Amino acid sequence: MSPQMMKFKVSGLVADLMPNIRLIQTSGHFMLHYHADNSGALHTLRLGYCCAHLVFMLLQYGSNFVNLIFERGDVNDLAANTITVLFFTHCITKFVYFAVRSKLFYRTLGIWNQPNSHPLFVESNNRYHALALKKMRQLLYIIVIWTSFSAIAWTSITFVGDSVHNIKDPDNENETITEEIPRLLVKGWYPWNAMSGMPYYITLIFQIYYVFFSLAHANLLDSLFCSWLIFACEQLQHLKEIMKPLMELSASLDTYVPKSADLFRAPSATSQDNLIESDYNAKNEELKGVYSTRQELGGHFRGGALQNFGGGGVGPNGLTKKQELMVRSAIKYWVERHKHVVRLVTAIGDAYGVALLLHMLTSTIMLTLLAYQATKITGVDKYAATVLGYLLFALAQVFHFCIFGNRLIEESSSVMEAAYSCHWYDGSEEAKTFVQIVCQQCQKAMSISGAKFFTISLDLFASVLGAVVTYFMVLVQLK
Amino acid sequence: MEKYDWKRIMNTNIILLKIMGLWPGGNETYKSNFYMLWSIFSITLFTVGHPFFQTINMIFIFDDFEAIIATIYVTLSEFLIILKAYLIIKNMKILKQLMVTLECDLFQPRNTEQIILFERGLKFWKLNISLFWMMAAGTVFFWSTYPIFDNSVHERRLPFLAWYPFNAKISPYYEITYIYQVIGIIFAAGTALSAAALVTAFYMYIAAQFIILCDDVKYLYDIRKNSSTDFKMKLINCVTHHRAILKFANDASKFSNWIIFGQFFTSVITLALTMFQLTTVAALSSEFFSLMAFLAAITVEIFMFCWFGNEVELESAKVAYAVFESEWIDTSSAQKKYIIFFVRRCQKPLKMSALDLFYLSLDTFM
Repeated sequence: MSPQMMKFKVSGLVADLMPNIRLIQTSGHFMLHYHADNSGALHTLRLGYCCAHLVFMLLQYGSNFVNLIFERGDVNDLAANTITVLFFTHCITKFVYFAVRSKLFYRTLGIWNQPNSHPLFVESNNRYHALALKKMRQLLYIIVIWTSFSAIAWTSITFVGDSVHNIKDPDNENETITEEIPRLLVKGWYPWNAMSGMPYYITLIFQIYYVFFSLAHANLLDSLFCSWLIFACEQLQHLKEIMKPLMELSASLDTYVPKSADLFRAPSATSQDNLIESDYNAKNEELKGVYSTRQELGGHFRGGALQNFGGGGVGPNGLTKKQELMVRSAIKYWVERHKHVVRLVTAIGDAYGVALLLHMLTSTIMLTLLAYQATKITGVDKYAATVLGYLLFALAQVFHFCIFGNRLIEESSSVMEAAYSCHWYDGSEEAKTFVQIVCQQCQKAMSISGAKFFTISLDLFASVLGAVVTYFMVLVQLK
Repeated sequence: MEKYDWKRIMNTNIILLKIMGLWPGGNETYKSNFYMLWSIFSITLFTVGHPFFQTINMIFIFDDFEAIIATIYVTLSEFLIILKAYLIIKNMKILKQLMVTLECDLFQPRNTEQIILFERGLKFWKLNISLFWMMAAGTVFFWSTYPIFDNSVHERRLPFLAWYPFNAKISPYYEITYIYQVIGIIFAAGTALSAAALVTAFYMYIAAQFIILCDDVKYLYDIRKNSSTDFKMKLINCVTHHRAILKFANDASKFSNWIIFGQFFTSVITLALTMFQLTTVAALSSEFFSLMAFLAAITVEIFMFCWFGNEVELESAKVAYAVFESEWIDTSSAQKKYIIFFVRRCQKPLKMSALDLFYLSLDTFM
């Protein structure tokens, strides 16, 4: 299906994440769907825009690398340049990864396009959806501010201190002298002389663009991943919350039932428009009656009120056939929604797992080198500031996705506790069996793994932090 | 649906094993025939003989520390290979039985969709083995040819320091011994490769079986064509299948236990020694490359064991969730109670272990 033919309709996750998606598209990632007008010319234009970004990124990255090779004589410079190269490897990796695996991302974004719904739980669903939306926006603001701040800090620190590097004195083999190099954000090799004048300003602006856009590339994709996790967590919270009303719905008539009516006091319960997608459409009329009379009959749920529903006799739990059907439809909604969330989490893992693995591999090497660099800090100067800046940024990136991965694990393992803490003993036999099966299924927490090698959780962050501190301590001792 | 041939993907390995005298034909273990003669001959001469001469040499050069280290890491691996060959021969009966069990009806895929699901895993295994082949070939190549590249052929230097009852520096003897050493190392690499391939192939088959089981369970309550509507029978079938898989895994474990244990034990020591060697040789020489290739081969070998052990664990954990994905909501209470029993057992994932000391998973690899 060519992009031109696709009718542009925002729904589901795409609608929720629209600001994020637009930012990603502006920064030059290869996200070519989700435009209202996708005709051939505009599509090619957008593709060209992305390719231009890719070319610029690779050029500057290549320039960094060449500079690394030229300056490999001096150990300090070698370490510093390696750290810079590794830092920008993240960004290039994420850029290329997205271009190559964009199909998986589109699939994940489209997974929530057809969620099921149940009239009884619409209000709760909407509430948690709104909550998820709010959190996603907040996260996006924080990421954007942090990225901009980092780029500005990097630019400003370039203009502080001397812009020199050490090379071997041509006269005396054992001495090193300082030599002027262009005052630029990252040390790179250029085929022109960038010391001063027009070439210098052009190079400077190019570098500012490069730094800002690289940071944006990496961070925006990470925030997309975390937004997905936020959404999944809020859905799990929704499922946990509706456990209790579900139990009380199926509770026998001997127990105090009227409270349920209060729980369903939200507007949707009294609305007459039918959102039921299950196969109970034939029973629409009777069920409509149930919803509206439920409010009035709040206190009259026993005895004679039953006769008004007509149809079938009284079931083993004191529930009529219709009530049993409603309980069953609620259980079905719960189970289907849970399966849907599991599908979403699996898709997220498939889409982003390998990127996380690559990120962790690069980070490990980079943090080791940073620990080594940190042992050479002699005072509060430009060097200390840059080393600490790199360190904090790298750790913050890892922390960013670890914390949301951890939240997912916690939420999914607490579903079982929610199932246990609702009044399951009051529920019908069917509801009790349902709770039992749910408890069994939810014992294993859902987690995102980095291509099966490790799980994304705060344990991972703690081990990374621990490793950096250990290297630092060892290296300080060795000095 | 015609029978799915599980052995097809292992064909190359079986041929290799046959050449090295480690795979008697048919479904039985070694019989007294011509093949057994060939096995005894080739294994004694090449697989055992080559390290044997190297060990004797070690006794003579005990004082020279660097030379000891240079030979010990290779000799250690070769002893491991002898151990592997011995274990394969000893467990040949179990091995053959496992191959027969694999062909039974219970383990066959039920329809083409299932085949698509597990073929991906099989292809990955093939890719891994090919990668391992390349690494091993690289190592063998560099080891056999470094005297030539180093120009020490003129000094009549052999690829491996070994003692022979005759003077190996005289002209015809030198070439013959050189070729003998090359064939010896090829046999060694081949045995190592085949043992690893066998073990991981079994894990891969187990993972494929779990995928089939998952699929069966997911569609337990679906009325599809060619399937019966007797849910109880289908569930009992699934339970039987599950138990058969567990028994298969148990037997495979019996066969591979010592191999994996030996592999990990020697790999760890070899990795340390090889890295020490790396620091003593000149960078970018032929010897350096051979060491790197050897290091890579060992790492890939351990990775393969851990990865496929991990796959088995992951796939077996998915069965419990597959039950949840089936349409259990509309079934009767009695049915639901059967499901609860089944799920309770499925929740314990199948972890492959080596002598129950440690589990084969990606955690162990890291």
